[in-house]
Amino acid sequence: MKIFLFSEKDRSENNFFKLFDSAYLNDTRKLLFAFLVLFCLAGGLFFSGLLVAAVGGSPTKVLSSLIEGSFQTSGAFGRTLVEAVPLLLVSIGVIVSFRAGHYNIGTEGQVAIGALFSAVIALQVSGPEWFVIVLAILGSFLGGAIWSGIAVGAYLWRRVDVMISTLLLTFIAPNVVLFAVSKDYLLLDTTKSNTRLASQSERVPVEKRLPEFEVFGQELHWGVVVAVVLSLLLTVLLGKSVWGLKVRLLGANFVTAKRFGVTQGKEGATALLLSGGFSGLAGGMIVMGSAFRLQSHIANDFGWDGLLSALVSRLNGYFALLSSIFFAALRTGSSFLAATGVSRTITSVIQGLMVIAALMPAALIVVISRSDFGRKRFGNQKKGEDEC
Amino acid sequence: MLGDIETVLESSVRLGHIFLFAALGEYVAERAGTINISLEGMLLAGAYGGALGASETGSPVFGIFAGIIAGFLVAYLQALLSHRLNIDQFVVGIALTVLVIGLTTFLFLEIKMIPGRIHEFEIPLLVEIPLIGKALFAQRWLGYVAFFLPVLIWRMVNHTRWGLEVRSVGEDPAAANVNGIPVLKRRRQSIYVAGLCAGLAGAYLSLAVTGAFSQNMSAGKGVVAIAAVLFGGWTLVGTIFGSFLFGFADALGLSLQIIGLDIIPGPILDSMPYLLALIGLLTIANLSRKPAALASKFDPSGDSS
Repeated sequence: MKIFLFSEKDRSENNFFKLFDSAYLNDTRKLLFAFLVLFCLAGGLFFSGLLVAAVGGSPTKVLSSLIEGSFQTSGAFGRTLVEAVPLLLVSIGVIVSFRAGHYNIGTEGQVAIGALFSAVIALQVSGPEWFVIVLAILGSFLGGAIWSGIAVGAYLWRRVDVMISTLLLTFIAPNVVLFAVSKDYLLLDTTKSNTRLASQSERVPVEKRLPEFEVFGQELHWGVVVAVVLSLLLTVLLGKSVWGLKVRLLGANFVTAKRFGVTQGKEGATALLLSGGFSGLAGGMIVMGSAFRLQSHIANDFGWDGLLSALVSRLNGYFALLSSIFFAALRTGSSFLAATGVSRTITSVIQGLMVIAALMPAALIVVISRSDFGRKRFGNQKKGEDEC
Repeated sequence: MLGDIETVLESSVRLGHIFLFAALGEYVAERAGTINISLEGMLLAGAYGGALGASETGSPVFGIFAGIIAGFLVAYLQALLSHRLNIDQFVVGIALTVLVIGLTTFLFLEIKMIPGRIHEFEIPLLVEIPLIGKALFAQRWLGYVAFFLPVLIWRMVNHTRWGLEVRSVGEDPAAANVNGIPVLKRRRQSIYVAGLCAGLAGAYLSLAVTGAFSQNMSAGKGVVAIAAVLFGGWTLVGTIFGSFLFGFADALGLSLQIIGLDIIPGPILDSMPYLLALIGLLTIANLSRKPAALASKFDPSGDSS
């Protein structure tokens, strides 16, 4: 959580910050901080409600129809979980790259390229079905990694800011996909059903899709299991392994990291490639698990939403499980909003407000520690120090 | 053929202005050592504010002011969160951009708008110059601001005490702090300038270029504007050149499709400005020296890291 919190100096000098430093956290303080986070997230929801009320809708109705559309109707929970798969994968990738201090925010483009790779493999490679499926999924990982690899290369060669280059690549990616699906020698669907020659690929044949299974009446596909296992694995690796320590060290202070032999070139690049790969994997899951055909807008905001869900989880892999389900619920529930008279785009406002809300605990701590109350109780800062 | 070139030039000036206005603001902000990913959000807020203001009051002039104010509001939030409350500026930028995209999309569907379009104003005589005359001197009148704004920014950054302080804050915040320059305050102010300029760019986009607001209409223009500053090597002239180059790339993509030249496929033309920005960053940017403290955090109470 380093990037959201405070500098080293704050931590050593200000007693109030000690309250929330992991080194000083005891159970009460953990609880207090968790309460602060929950309070802020609830505040985000509250403001969303205010906005709904401001445009003349009913907040309770909107909430109940969102819940109905995402969890209560038959099969809805399964749909939400399937929708959460790409979000979770993107989130985990984003968490790794942000923790390494490289801001990979071009996930939307990497999702699209990953989808392209998996569609090419699924449609054009022949062989036993399980082999094609595995190959397509691996291919999507490769695709995303290649797309973020361009940014990595630009960074290593010319120190081009990763944030800017990944963002620019995001706007190029859909055009690459569009090019692929509008040419008949590539992926354009030329079968009879597509008489108007819409820019899309053929459907992935049923036997080459991700196999489905049913739990408690909810239809899921194996991507759900894969995503959860992978994300838990990566979270544990990030938290417990030597590699994870190196990555986090790089993000916390790259000068110190350099002294320890951890370089932007090796660990940083690995983290970015991994992050791109996971976004690509998300694209593969979309093509093989839910969309089944490639279109230029295949990424459909999954990349952006995954990025936001990572921010809302405050870059914690375990909470990313929850926040990706929350974001998926907003996606599936939004189709039920028509009856309430509020447009379904309210969900994108809610997303934005939740991200701001997730930043708020850190801001609140600063505010409190600078107030007279905070100074008297916890701080030893001299008055007027933070005036500039 | 000559007519075609004239059309391309005309629209590249028009589109270049959007990049120019936004990039000029971002130039000031980057000289102070900050990077605003939320420039995209400021631009979009400006576009929405401009359209809303013009439609509510019926006058494009009020629309422009509304757009500038909208851009400033986003900049205010960015400055507040990142340079007063010490939250990471990139994360704040992403969050604000997303919030603005969501809010404008939602409000666009809730409130119907019919903004007027800014009138065209031809400068007599000068408009007769072949090739560039129409492009430069037959614009919608807000476009003529582009002649003055760079001068204003240049004077502000290079010829005032404030500008000197802004530049010193971007080069060595610790030294600036020791000399009594309020580092975070100057950075906040430079972000406000970015917001005002990006708001103007947004208002120009919705009121002069298209004459209507549409969902997520900035579509990465803010990012390209940031790229223009990097491309220009953090110099004013370079930034202006970069903005018009990317504007030209954007216009070329649009007009080649309209003219119907089929040499380069459409999708590639669509991604021209982004592709060019990327290539520009790879080749030219970072050859020049960037502000030494760019994107660094500054903590006034302690030693800098």
